[in-house]
Amino acid sequence: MATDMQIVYVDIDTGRVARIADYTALTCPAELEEFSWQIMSRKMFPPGFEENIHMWELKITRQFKSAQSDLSDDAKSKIKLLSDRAECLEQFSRIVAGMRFVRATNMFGRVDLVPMYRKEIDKYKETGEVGELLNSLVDTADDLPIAIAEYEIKTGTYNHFLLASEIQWNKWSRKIKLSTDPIQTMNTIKQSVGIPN
Amino acid sequence: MTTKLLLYLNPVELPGMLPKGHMPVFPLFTGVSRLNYKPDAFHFKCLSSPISDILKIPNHNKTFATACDERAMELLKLPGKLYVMWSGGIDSTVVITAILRTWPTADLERVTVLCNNDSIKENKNFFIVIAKKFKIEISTDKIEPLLASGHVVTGELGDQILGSDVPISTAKQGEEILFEDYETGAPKMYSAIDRATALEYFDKHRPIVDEAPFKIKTVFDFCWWLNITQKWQHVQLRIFASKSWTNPGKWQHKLLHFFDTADFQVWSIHNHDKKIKTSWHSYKYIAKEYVVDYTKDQSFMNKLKLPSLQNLFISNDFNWAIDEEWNFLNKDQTIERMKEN
Repeated sequence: MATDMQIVYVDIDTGRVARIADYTALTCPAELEEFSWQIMSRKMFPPGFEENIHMWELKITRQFKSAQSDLSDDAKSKIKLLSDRAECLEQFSRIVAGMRFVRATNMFGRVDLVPMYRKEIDKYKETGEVGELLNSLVDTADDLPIAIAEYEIKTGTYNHFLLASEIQWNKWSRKIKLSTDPIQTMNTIKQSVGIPN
Repeated sequence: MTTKLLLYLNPVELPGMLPKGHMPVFPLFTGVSRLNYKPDAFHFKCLSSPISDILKIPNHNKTFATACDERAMELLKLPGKLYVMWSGGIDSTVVITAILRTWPTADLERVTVLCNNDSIKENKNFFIVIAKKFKIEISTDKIEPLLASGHVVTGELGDQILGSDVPISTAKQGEEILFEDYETGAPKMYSAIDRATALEYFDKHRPIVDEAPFKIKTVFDFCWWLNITQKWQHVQLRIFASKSWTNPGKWQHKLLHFFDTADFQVWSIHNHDKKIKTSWHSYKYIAKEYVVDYTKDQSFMNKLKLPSLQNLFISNDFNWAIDEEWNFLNKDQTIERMKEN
């Protein structure tokens, strides 16, 4: 089912609406040089808008204006390719963000507390003083070295994962942006990260 | 003259030209036969001893424990640092146990265990053992810097020595398929992987049983024999799939797979009854017993292989193939060379 909030892409060249897509959790709007985008409620769409979105222009003031002429076939096929790229970038952003969310939540609960653990670990190594967070990881002080070793491996693993996902994002989002068959490129990405088509 | 390929490495993209009798599933088409019969899809150069040479070696009658202890003692003779890749699984836990059982305490300082959060999740109790005895670092696919300062040891080829996990990973109707007649069970098993090519694949590989040291009866027997005779080289070399390698020829001799010895292969051939009992649960029981004998942690006997989320996004990129001079080939070179073969 379509969500109320929508990403509306505009083809900068023609000023026409090029694509609309559900703005769901974890979706990052595609950053394509040829498209601008706005997030808006479906309620703002004018009547008949979704029947042929290319017959509408969207102003920076978020007002829709009906266009007088149809797009040329060249413009339509260019917009179709860009729209496919945008769709694939959205999908890929959801995959990466989803994996990061799962990984972070699964490993830490609150990933933003990691620097505080780090601070307590450093202080413990320096002074032997046990902070509240560190103390909560163990039942007895004897277990602290193992708990710290585990936490360090955990944060190291997470950092590796973040780095790997960043590298994959940089590499594959660039490939999608340049691809003449972005859907095939997206299928290759899914295969490489173990997600069925 | 062009060099021969050792292995096709890219798990993501298929080479796109498979002869009849092969499955379009990585790594099933990358087999390098160590038998006289060669069902290989491509003619890669075989690095390992032919199985016929292994079969000629008299049975040393060593127990699995003795073979492990002796291997660890060999590793002790290596100079400098030793990095052990610990996944938390049974095979790499055996490697660390062997070191703990045999190395003098002072030498343990030379050892660094490489692991990640999934290793800890998979085997928390053994992580505690490790954390008390060794330096620990986060595992990485960038191995060359480690090889520059020492040797790296993996638990690879444990599966080939101790059986195969293929039957259970494909068994939809339960683990009884492990002990089914291979003539009926193996095609079913391969159908779960790729229905369209399963029968052709089985027909192509069935003749390997003619060179087995004993009568192959069950699916488990067949999978072990296929694993040790056809998949050995893939497992030996798959670590080179990572694009992070820059000069494998310079360092490959310092990368050691713990189970990559004639001794373990002889053990495997003469101790087939010690790989599994009557359930999947008992797979690798001899290796588990070896660990438990040291740790006294009986819970390890219940250990099963766990899937790992870490595999997602694990690699930055993949090499396409490696040749006999330890050079990586790009896609076009790989396809060209495979056609030549």
